[in-house]
Amino acid sequence: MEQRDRVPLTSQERARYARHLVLPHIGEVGQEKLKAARVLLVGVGGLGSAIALYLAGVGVGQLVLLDDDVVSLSNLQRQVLHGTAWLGRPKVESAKERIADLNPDIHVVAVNERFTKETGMDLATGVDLILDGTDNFQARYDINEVCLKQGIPYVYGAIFRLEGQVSLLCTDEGPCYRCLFPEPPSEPVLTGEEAGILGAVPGTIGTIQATEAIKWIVGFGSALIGRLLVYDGAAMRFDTLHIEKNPDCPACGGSRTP
Amino acid sequence: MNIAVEIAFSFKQKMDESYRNLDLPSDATVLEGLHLLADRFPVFRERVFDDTGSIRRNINALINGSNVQFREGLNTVLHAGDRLTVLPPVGGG
Repeated sequence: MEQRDRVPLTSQERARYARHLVLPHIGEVGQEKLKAARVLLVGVGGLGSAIALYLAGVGVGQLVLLDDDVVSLSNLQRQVLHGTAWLGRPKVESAKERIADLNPDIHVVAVNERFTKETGMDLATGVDLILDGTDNFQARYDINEVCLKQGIPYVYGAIFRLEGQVSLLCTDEGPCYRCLFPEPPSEPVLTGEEAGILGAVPGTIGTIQATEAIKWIVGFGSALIGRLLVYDGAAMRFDTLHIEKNPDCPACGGSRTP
Repeated sequence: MNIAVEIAFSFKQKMDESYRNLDLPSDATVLEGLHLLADRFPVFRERVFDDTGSIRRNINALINGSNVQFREGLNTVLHAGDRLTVLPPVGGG
């Protein structure tokens, strides 16, 4: 983000973000960039719980949360953003209330809708990043399309049982989701409900997504572009796979804005 | 010719590290590379091939980071020094 994308901090915010202000990677300028940032989080389930909590905690100024689901008892084993008192109520409302307690200085927009290309195009206008907290392939292709059309980077994350994948897609330099996965799976893929999921795995992957988002907004470090981070919680291994933008990709055609 | 192999499935923990380097004849295809891995590692055959001996349709193969679906699919010819990546789609969140 450029220098104009900064909002001065209040004295209370200086106290809240004291550990960031002394961190060489962030400092006052970086914290002002976080305060000026607006991000769209698609899905406040497992991945979304970790993403929302950390982006709210670190002071991303505007969080747009999208999800059409309600909190159920089987969610709470991993979706730590929500609580037992919120069973049966919309996840985005639960998220908004939890975030308001964690950090009342940020602005949260809660949208109780399913992500589609149409709603995505509206909600993505003016956002700096879209973060993936979805639980299905179609939403990921739709996020990819919205990101490419609006020129917004896509912080991809996905999990299965004890495994996960993370990357920063749809940038000028790197591939998009369709470069990596040209077509949705043509055979059924087990869902989390069918296959199971270790409760802490979305926390691991979502926290990495949040880290990539913070780095991108502030502008430090080496972004996960052209690299797919693959996590195996059983073996406790991370592998980094090289991935490339494909000039024949039907979505990006090798460029960010087709 | 020598090919580097990356597998992004957890079942690779049941395979010894020799899978990482594959020695193939010149002009071998991706499919031939995957068959050689299946011959050496039963768990690879079980997870990557279906009951009819065909590659499961959800398996993604990348050469040097680029999906082979943009080339000749599994018939894409490998070259010495290529890096072949076998990648599953992951959908949960």
